[in-house]
Amino acid sequence: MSVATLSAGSRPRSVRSSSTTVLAMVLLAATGWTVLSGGWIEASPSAVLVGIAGAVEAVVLAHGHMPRRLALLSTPLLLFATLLPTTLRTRPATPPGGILHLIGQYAGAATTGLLGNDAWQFNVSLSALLWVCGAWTAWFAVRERRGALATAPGWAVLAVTVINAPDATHVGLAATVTAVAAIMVIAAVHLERLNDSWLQRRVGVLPGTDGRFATAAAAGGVLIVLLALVLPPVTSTDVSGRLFGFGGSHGGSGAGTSPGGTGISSGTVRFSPSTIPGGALTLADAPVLTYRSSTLSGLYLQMATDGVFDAGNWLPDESALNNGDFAQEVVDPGAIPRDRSVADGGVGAQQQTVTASVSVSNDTSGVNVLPFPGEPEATTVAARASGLVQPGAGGQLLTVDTVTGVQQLAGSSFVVTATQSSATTAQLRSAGGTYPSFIARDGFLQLSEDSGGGAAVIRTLAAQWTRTTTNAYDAATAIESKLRDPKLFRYTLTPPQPPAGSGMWPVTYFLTTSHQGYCQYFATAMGAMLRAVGIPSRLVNGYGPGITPNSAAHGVDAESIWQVTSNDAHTWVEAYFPSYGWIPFEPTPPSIAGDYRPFGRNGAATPPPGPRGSASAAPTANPNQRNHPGPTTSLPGGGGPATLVTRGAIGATAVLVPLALFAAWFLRPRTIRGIWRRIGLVGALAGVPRDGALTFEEYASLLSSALPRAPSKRRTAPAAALADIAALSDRALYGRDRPAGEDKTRIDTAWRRLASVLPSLGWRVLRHRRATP
Amino acid sequence: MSSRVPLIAGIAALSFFAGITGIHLAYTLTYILLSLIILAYLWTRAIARRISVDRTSPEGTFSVGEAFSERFTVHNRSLMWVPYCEIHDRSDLAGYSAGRACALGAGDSVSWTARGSFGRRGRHRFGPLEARVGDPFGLFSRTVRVASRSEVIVYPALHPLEDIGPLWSGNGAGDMRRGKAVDVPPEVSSVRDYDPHDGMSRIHWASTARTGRLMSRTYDTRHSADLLVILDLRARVHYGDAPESSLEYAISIAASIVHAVARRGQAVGLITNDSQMRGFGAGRGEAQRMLLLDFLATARNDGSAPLAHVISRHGDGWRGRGGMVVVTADRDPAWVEALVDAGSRGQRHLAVMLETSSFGAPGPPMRIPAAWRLALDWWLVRRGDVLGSGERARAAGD
Repeated sequence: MSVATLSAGSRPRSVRSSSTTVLAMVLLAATGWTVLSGGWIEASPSAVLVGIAGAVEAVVLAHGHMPRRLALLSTPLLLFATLLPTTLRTRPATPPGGILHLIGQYAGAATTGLLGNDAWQFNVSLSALLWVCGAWTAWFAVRERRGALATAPGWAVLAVTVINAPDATHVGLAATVTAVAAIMVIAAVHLERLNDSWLQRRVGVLPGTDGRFATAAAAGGVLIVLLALVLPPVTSTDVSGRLFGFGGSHGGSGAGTSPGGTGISSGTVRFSPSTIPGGALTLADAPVLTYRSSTLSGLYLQMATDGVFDAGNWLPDESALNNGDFAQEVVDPGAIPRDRSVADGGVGAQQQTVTASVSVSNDTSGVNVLPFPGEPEATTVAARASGLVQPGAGGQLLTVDTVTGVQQLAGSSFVVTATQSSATTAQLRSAGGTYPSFIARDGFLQLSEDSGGGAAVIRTLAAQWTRTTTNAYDAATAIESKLRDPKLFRYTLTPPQPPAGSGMWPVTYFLTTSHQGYCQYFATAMGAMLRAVGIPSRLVNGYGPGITPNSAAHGVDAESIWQVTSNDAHTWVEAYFPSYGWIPFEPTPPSIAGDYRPFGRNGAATPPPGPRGSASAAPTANPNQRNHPGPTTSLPGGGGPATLVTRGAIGATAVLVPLALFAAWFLRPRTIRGIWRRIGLVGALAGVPRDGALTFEEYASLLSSALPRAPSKRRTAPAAALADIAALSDRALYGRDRPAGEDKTRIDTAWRRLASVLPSLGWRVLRHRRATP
Repeated sequence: MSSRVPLIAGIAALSFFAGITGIHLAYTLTYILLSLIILAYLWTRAIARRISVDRTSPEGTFSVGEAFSERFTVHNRSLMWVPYCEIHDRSDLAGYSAGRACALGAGDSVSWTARGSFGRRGRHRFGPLEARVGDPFGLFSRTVRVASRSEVIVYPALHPLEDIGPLWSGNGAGDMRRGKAVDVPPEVSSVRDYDPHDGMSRIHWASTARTGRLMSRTYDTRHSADLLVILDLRARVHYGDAPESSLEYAISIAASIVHAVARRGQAVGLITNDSQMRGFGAGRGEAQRMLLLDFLATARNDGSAPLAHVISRHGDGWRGRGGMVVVTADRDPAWVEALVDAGSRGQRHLAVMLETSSFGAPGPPMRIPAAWRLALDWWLVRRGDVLGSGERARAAGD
């Protein structure tokens, strides 16, 4: 025990005021750090200085006892004066105009810059936001002495950054520091407020109070943050789009939309040969086909490839935008005529053959396209294969983009054969960068730009994400991992759309702002980013593996039938690796629409394999799991037993903790009146509500007579306990002397006796009430 | 607006967005705000139950102007820090602030001493003490009673009125000088230092032998040396605000006389005209002194009976038993006449007159008519007079 002996009325000098100011500055700096960590394009660190300047100006105004109204009126002037020095040099060239034009330009940038794509506007807006944040925080902390309110903009910026940051990988630490700083600001302001109050009421403050207060606040703040960090999230499913109906301003439909469909529409998830992100989708679950797989695992069914990137969309090679030679080959039942030279790039080395027996039940796409579980190799039905050809090479297909049935495929059954790469990770890493001539000739590295600057944004992000990689394969997996990171991007069928008239591509908006989309967004982004870092890429449209009913009971074998519906329509990415051909990648994270996992590679660390642990290039999808919304698909990594346990634990905690708190409150009354409040509650349940006109003893007697009798030896326990409590309460509350310690002990003992029979008493009361209508 | 409101709004907004987006970090922020509120509540609740204060307060009786000190020790018996603890003293002593604000570590104690002085007469309460504790974020606070109250009686200010006392005292020399009729056998009441005027028969040899210096007896006549103090407690007679009011001066003078006379062993009584017309018969000793002072400590001017009526009523019965002192601020000549009528041969009563114009009453300063001065002894007291030795020299007419 430490004892401080002090003279009366001592009031030590303190550095509290400056501490609050410093903490407000720290909060501002941490908030700015969080924003900058969010990876916003072109965000300038000078914005943080502007924010701190705003805080300093507010502190000066607050200490100068500036009237509130005057301070508010001076805000635009101070903001403008602070913004100007840091952003004037980088201001884009504009037609000559006076000061009003300049002010107008700044006002526009400050209010809408965060939504635009212009670096200057963005920085002006970000600086203005942080300035307001700083001024607000400092004013409310120093002048108004309202800690929680002072930190409100900090929390808001933090929340917006956490939810919308393009790259939230590095936000965590900054956000944690910001949260701690915000808590400390709240505590510091409260200490100021207390000291003001003590000064006003002439309450002496003992030395060391400030220090102990600060220590307690710091310990509490750190404990709070640590506790919050270890708690798991309740959900990880993004349902925002579904709730608010985001989208609708841009065309497109899930894993496919009609080619060239840029109109305003929304649609259902279904196959389409082109990839045009945009618009909201709904699930339809129409049966498309069934198949049996030679690999005993689910297969990605490739139906069409898109090699042309145009303004944020991916189009088939046969589109008019392609400069290469495009050809169609008639396929008799058998092998598809294609260039099988590895040197030409037509096929890759290290291939394995995969066969699937397909029965088409319904062609929801209306394009009559055959599905192949990899690079099309052969089929048992007559068809036409389309793809790029080597100029002057006799018409053999270098790429097989689509294989269309000559006859209607709906209702028919056939066998398709395809090849999948079995190249190892090491082989792909050492594949090099010497590509066949058709890669450049046919535009597989092309990333067209338009006035919106979307390609530049994609190039910047791609460079950031791959800056530590040394080869094409690592770069591709780095991009794939980023897109699959649930902390950064979320799957939704109703993604937010870029503001109308902004000129932003949906994929750019997806990468920089919304971070929400469906498979087309993820595939489009990855395909474009691969090209941005010099890796040839194309998109593949088709279907995911589907499900095998009853596989949980019977396992998966060669006779297992996989069912594919329109909801399994999917888009993924292929990157070209010299000598190994087109290698698939899966940028779409697991979601309500499918448990999509990265494609397995030989020699690579892969996620838990499918039912057979195949080392094939096919992704390891869960055969039991339908690729549409389901209760077990919400958490990252799939909804396993651990998820259920976690949810169950959280649910049980949510129920049990309040119950335990209530029980603790109920069973441990602190005062005699508290005991009677509880007895009144029991009485109300028993149908004898407490009447203020009755004395304790009268009410105890009334309640005792109303309580049902117990058939045990404890029959008289409640009545006796009630009588004891009543008698002692009368003496304690209305007697001449305050209750002695002995009396209190006796009352507590009587209450415990009563409380011990409450459960059985409650049960009897309920039974009694049920029995007596 | 409570500090909790923005936080609760923040929690609502954040939990909503975390719920619909499923972002882990958004949940973390929600948890931080939620934990902030929950921890603040539990923290406050936990320390409120474990805080206690030891208080050492003065006990007994005091008189206005006496100084005192109190010792406080705050104990934190919880395992958690107490970010702040504001001890609020509910004492009703004006101008006394014993409360302090402090912070305590787990299991710590802090102590301080508060000093003050009694500024008003009456029954004064020390305590109860309340402790206001809370979390460091200003979200919750609790006020708990941590120490009970105690009470002291503060007597009116007692002034040394030695010059007044001998008028009615049984001091033999004084009696002889004034030619006082002594119709009852004297009683030895106490001893005092020898005076050269004392006869040899007055020397108290036993005390002289014990103290080593000559000591004389003081004699007390049983009744003729008694004193009756009549205090005017009518409403609307007194002026001014306490403590500089004519009422406080009057009560203080009455208490000083009672104290001085009782301490000399004389019998003293007190008659008032308050709402209950309370009066105390003459008596002597410490018990009588405390009885009268206890009453005077809480006396109020809420009466309505005219002073002349009180004097007439009690004067006849008192005639010949001793002197009377009337303490009043009333300028009505009726009571003067009643007091003169109550006198007896050789017995002059004393009128202590509060000069109300000096206490803010309208009208000119009082001048005591010559006839009144001839009939009574007068002491005119004005606001700001230093009561005590020699004050009687300022009596009107001297």
